[in-house]
Amino acid sequence: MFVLMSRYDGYMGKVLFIDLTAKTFSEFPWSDEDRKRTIGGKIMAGDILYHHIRPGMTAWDEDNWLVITTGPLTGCGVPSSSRFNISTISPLTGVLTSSNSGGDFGMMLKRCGYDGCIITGKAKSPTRIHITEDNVEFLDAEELWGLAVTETQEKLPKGTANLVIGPAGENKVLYSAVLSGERANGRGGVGAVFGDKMIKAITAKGFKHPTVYNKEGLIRLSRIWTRRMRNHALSGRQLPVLGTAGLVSPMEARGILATKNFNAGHFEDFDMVSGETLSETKLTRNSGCTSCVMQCTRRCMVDGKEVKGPELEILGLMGPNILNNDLQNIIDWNYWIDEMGMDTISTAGTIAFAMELKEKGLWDGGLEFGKTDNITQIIKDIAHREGVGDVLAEGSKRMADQFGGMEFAIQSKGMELSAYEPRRAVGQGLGYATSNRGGCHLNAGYLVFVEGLGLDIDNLTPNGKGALCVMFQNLMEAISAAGVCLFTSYPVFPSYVFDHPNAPITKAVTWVLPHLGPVIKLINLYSYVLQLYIPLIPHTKAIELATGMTMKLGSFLTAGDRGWNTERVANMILGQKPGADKLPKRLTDVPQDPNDPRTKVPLDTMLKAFYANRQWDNGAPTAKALKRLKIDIPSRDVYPYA
Amino acid sequence: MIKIKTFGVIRLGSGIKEFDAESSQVRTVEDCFNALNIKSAPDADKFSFAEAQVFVNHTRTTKKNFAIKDGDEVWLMSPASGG
Amino acid sequence: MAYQIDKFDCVGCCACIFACPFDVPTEIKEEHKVVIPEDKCVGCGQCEDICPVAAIHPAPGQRKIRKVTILEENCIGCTACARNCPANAINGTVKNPHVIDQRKCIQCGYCGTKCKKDAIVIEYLA
Repeated sequence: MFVLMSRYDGYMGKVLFIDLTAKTFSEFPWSDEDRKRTIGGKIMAGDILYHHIRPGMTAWDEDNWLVITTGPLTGCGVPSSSRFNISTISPLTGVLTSSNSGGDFGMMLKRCGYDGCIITGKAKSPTRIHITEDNVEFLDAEELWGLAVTETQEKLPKGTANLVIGPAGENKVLYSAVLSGERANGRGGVGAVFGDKMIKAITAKGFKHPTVYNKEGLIRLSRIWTRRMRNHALSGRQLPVLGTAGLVSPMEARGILATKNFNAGHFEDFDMVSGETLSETKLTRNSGCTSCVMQCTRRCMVDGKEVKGPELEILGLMGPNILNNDLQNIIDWNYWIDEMGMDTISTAGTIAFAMELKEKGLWDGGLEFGKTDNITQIIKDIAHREGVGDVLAEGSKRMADQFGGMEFAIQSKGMELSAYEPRRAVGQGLGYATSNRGGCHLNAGYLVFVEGLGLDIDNLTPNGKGALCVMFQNLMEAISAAGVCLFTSYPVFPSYVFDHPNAPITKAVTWVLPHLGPVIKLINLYSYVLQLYIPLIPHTKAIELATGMTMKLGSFLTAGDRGWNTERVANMILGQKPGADKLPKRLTDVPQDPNDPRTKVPLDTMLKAFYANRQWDNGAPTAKALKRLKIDIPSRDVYPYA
Repeated sequence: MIKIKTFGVIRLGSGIKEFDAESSQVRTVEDCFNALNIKSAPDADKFSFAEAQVFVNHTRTTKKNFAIKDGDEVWLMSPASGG
Repeated sequence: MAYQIDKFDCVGCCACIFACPFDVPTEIKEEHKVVIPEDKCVGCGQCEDICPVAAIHPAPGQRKIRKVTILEENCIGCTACARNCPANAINGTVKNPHVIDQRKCIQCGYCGTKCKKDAIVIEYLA
């Protein structure tokens, strides 16, 4: 086994490669040049998969790789730095998914001496992979198979960090998740790939520490950064006090709270399931990811046990979106979805779709809007693929293929949308449509943040949205890759505008942003010239201090751009066609307010600007884009678009 | 009668979820905050228009002197975000 | 010899629990805070380095270690230090003098508590 180390600190210098079929392990070559180019996390994983996949490859192929990667800042003591990523071919969408979480597994993987872990092959029987500093063991997990997530974790050795699947992953529910502690790598069905490979759990235990290049400098920066985050209206007040649940009321106020399968954006009983009501009546205490200074997780009671409470997504999607106004129901369902090991967003979105199918007489799965007494059982049935659960386990797009109703199957590229109703936040709609992994609000660029939640720019105009979307997407991609939580990006927007939402300067900023399209386009296309550091984005300096590599804003944004493009080309090699950046007709053709024709997503208009900002042709990166970003251009027979 | 509802950190900080006010007491949006601060406990957090996003009958206003009339519903909210 | 967590500043993020090679800090779940039992703390300071809110400080009298080395002439190769080193930073074979790999050493001084032959040399910062 030859050893490749890194001259950079922060990284551990090795990537583990596990062959589950042969039960062997070795090192995967990963150079400092690769580290500089991809930073880590999902960009690193996307690059690895890009060079591995071939046309027609599917999630169930033996050599579909699970790529688990950390960032250089993961575990280095900067605020909210426990993040890691799992990428693979998604069984739900057929293209790459990248699923991020703040569980302890990533940090422990680094303590074993690895920046990442790639798994190929399949086991013949339920297996637990156990990783230590010097060894990888393949242990029998027959007695764990069938157990729910917490039961499984309780049986694992003390002192280890874990990644486990529940019954949903074992039964290859297309949107099953992997859990590390109580945090989920939720989206895209990574749990199903684990289940297909018969990996019930991965455990890790190690004692190494990432070294840092400039310890005093990093500690100093970390403390300033933390202070800024704790003084910020969003990361320092709203998130700790209310969690992401605090978004329900603002979304209602702006008509972007998805209601009745995205038939509307308002729900009269919204306050019964709001973050305020949650904090006032159900919250037992806060909790959060290791090393996080925000601690935004809720904890609530279910059947006398204190468990992880709901995030915004499930409050919206299993509240207004299925016409449920009972908060305890949502808390219970959230618990069961976690225990079964599934994605709360896709589970909820599929259920809402099934309810509308019944309403329209297209399919009767026993699910109805406002009927809540059978949902816990349905969640378990989905996880076990029993009865109608077997149909629901396929997700809304496949159900629409079978029963009809595609115009109101609220998904993009096969993955269900989250709770933000984009007809009154059209930039968010653009993001949903263009997101590489499908209907994701974060990969989308999270434009809703400026379209009414944090800032209040013109939410209905298509102007400037293409350019803004690209810039946010690139920045967030890079922040994720560094290994820190996306919420550390809030202080990028100075606290002043959130502390003074009515001040003239705030109003000026909100007025001008949609007009800045041309300027932002220049930044998008020429970001590499920004070889400077801006204190509003401390992530770049943190990377420099932790690793010793030079990382200025321009390289950071370019790495994000590169990550976005690499994943997109990989997806097209896997079979995605041009024109795949779509939204269901309900969102593009039907105004949310019948009296206001602007309240629908002008997707085609915004896509023109988006593609111009990315140098893409109808969703396919052109040779110009690939050359600019120094991405290896694939051969014409696998990628005819360059 | 004017109905005033609070949300976000304003609701949790003041301890008051909603209350009614006479249209003679509350003439502008700014008056709503004065009314809230008087009503909340002495040791509760106090709030001002400057730090809030205010909706009158479901429409946002950024003017502290925006006139409130009888029958209006005013929402006092704080900026929020998540993921 | 210990580090202490300022109760007011602590946010309960548990980074110190994660970083501690000796499993010392303890979470008080009801209060969402972490405490360091003084009698168990080895004084390595890994927790202070990782705490994002600067809530952890050395107790009075706690001295930070600058460097740890092994005095070859005193070392009898008993391997006690290597076996107990939380960073796996000590190399050597039985009955032969051991050497500390300075790249891996986390300057916790734990080896010094295990050596019976005064072979561990600790240089303090102040």
